[in-house]
This record gives sequence, C-alpha cells and structure tokens, in this order.
Amino acid sequence: MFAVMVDWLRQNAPLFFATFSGLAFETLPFLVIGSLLSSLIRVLVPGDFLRRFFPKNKMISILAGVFLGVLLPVCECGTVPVARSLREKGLPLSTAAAFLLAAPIVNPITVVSTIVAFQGYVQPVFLFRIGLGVSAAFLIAMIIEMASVLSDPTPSPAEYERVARAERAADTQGRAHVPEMILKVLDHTSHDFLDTARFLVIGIFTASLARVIVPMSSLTAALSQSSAAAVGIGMTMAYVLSLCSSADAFVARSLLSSLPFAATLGFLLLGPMIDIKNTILLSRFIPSRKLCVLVGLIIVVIFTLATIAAPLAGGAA
Amino acid sequence: MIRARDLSLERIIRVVLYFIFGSACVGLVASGKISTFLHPRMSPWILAAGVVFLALCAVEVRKRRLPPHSPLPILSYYSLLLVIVVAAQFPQIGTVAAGRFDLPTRRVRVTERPTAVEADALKPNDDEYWQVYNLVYGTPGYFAGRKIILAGFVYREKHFPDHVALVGRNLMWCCSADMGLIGFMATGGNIDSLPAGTWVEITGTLGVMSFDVANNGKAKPVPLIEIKSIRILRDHPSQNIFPQ
Repeated sequence: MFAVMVDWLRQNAPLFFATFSGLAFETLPFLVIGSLLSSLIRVLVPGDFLRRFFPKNKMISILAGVFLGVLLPVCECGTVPVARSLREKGLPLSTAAAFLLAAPIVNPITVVSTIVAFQGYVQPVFLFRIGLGVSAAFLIAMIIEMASVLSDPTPSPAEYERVARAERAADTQGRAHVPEMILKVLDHTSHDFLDTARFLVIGIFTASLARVIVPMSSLTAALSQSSAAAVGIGMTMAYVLSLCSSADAFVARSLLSSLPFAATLGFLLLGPMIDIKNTILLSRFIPSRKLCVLVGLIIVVIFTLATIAAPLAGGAA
Repeated sequence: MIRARDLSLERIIRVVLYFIFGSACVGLVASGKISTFLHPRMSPWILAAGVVFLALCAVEVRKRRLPPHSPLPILSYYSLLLVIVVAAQFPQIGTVAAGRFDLPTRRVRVTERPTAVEADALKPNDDEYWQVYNLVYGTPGYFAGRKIILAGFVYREKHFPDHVALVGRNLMWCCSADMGLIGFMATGGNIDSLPAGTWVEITGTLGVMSFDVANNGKAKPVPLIEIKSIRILRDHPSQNIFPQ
C-alpha cells in the first residue's frame, strides 16, 4: 500500500509542481497589480465621485459596472480586490458584482488574447465570448439586484456622508504631501495583497491537486453528441484548470481540435468568472452560504446561455 | 515559532518576502528563465509586478511604524513561503515531461506554411516546431520518406510498442499548468538504451506507423522516424515550445 502511494506521488509530483508553479507565477503578479489598482481607488478616488459617476438607475449602473472592466487590464484575480474597493466606496453590490464577473472577459488583455488565439475563427469566437460573457454578467447582477441573493446591509445616506467627509479631509491632507499619499497607497497595497494571497494560494493548491486527481482525458472521453454535455465538460475543465483569463483563450484554441465548439464555449465563458482558486479567493469576502448561491447562479446562467448559443456559435465557426 | 502579533518580526518577514518575490520576477524575466513557468508574452506583466513588489519592500523598510491594520494571520506568510519553496523545487524535480502525454488532443489547423517544410531536410527550429508538428501529424503519408533532423528528450510510456520512444518537447500555451507533451515517435539507432529524459538530436527518415496514442483501443496513423544517427546533446535548447 505504502509502495503504491510512493509510486503515485513519484509519478504525479512533476505535474503537481508544474501546475502549482505555473498558476502561482501567473496569478500572484496580477493579484499584486490588482491590489495596487484597488488601493489607488481607495486612496485617490473619492467615494462621492464614484457614486456620482455611476447612474442612480440600477440597470444602467450595472451596465456601467460591466463596461468598467474595459478600462482595467487585470485578470480575475486582480478584479477581486478592485471590486472590493468599489463596494467599500459605496457602489451597489450588483454593480460591483457586474464588474467582478465581466471585467475578466471584457478587459483589453483578454479581448486581444482571444482575437490572437482564434485567428481564422476571430469573428464568431470573439463575439460569442464577449457577447455572452457580458450578457451573463448583466443577467447575474440583475438577479442579485432583484432577488437580493447576496444582499448585505447598505449603509445609510448619513453614513455615506460621514465617509465622504473623512475622505475629503484625507484627500486635502494627501494633496499637501504627495510622498505620504504614495506611501499610503503602497501600504494599502501591501495589506490587501497579503490579506488576499493566502486564499489564492490555497485555491492554487486545491486546483493543482484536482488537476492531478482528475485526468482531463477522462472528461473528454465522456463526451457525447449532446451539446449540453459538451458545455458541461468544458465548464468542468475550466473550473478545475483555474487558468488565468488573460491567456486561457490559447488553451481553449488548442481544445478545438479535440472537443466540440460547445465545450470550448463553456470553457471560455465560465473560466474567467469562477474557478477553484477564485471560489476560495472569494470566500475571503463573501460568507460561504452566499458564495455557494453565487457560484451556483454563475454555473446555471453560463450553462444555459452556452447551451442555447453553442449550436449557433459552432455553426458560425 | 513565528508569532503573527510580533509586529517587528512581521515587518522583517514582509521585507524578505517582497524582496524575494520582486527580485525573482525581475531576475526571471531578465535571465529568460521565466519561460520555465510562463509563456514569454507574459513577461511585461511579471516585470511590472516585480517593480510593485520591490516598491512594497522599500515601503516596508522605510516605514517607521506599522499602519493601524489588523495583524494578518500567519498563514498569509506561510502560503507565500510555500509558493517560493515549490517554485524553487520545480526545475529540480524535473520539468521534462511534467505535462501529460496528449499527442492526439493538441493539434490545430496550420494557417501559415513554415519555411522549414520547404528545405530538403525538415529541421524545425523552436519557432516553427509547432507548425511543422501539426503539418506532419495532419498528413503523415505526405511527408513519408522526407529526411528530418530533430532535437528533444527521450520519453516512453508502458503502451508504446517495443523499440519505439518519443523524442519530445513540452508544449506551453500559457503557463506550466497547461503544459502538454508533444513530439515524434522514433525507432532505431540506440534509442532503446537511452534513459528517459536524455536530450538527443536524431537524424532520420519519416515514415508512418499505426499507433494507439491515447491507449483507448483506437489506433491512428502517426509519423514514425527511422533513426539513421543519434547524437546526445549536452547543451540543449529550451525544453518548452511556445505556440506563436
């Protein structure tokens, strides 16, 4: 028994080490950059400016949250601290959620990598990924808004005013001492990064173990003619592999030769929104019961949209 | 035992961790060794993160006192230590063939004909390896009889036919987490006697064999190199191939 375990470990250690190292080098830099962006927002952007910038109408506010991702070139690990800062600045939860879900898909790096990866397939894949990703993020944020699935206590207008006054005072002081402000930004960056990194590393560890235990070949072998099954398998692969959204299009491109387009679409849509490492990362900020609801909601919406769109997307490709 | 509430010690740990991460990011990019872990196109981001890490290190050094943040759990530091240990061990534990063997599932359509195909002997460089690989696997019969010169490491699996080995490379799309193993089956020479992981340059002729690559009972025609000569490489190219 012991010999079998040792043999298994010897065989699988290189794959585990490769997966863990690769994911760590891929995600931690984006986490620290995301933490820096988050701290810049927290220190430099007044909350009342953000609240004025985002429309009062919830639906338009959610749309603005979706397209805010275009301006911020960070992958899904980096968007988590930024979304947290936006929420702390008083943006509605649904708007922050829309940003959290859409930014990894609509940010310029992901858009360019999808176009480059699918040269020859550019039009359908690019459009389906962005279009369906934005639609899914909007839909999920609207469900969050209307059904209050993740509702948390919204600060009162008086509370917002108190925070805004404190921010204005800090802002005035900060303008007088730029070095102090830089120090403050970096200090927040440091704290945010360290506070979040442990959850990301645990997520990476879990994803690496899953990669060793769940052979991808067994998933592809389970494929049938049903596009729903293919979407499900593509989504499972995305969830287990936990790849960075900035580069997962290249992996998806390689899948096209062996998997139906439906599976590739499921892979491309779910991966940026949620995967093993991100689920654990989000557990830092969202209580587990609400996180389960959110993950379930994402999976159901993506599965439904991808299953409906897959035949059309496959045909177009 | 390190105590998370020992703030001065916590500050020293932060300085050391940020310095290691910052210098690792900058150093790996500068030396080109980042390609062990990531596709080189990610280098600008790693470099930017390295600069941020070093700035965080400088801030921790300059700070007279810790800000009024709540102390972080010790797991925050252990988790980053784990990353350093695993990343440092990865090249030692063996990056050769760390990815799974998945020849049949990784082929894509070739849109540009590589220049190596036009030469008398196929000798793909790293930039063209992936395209040549796809062309030859796509139409193995078309290339039968062509001379080929190929570098790679020796790799075997239990279901390989007798006297046949793979001369392989790692294919990295994005990072080592998605690494797969690709290469050409080869027979002849003294390849039987070479241990797995040995770097070789083989010269031979392309042929075709029927082989159940995925070991699922479905044999397919795949290219096979009949080795004419084999040379052991002490200085070998990067083991990773990065699709363009």
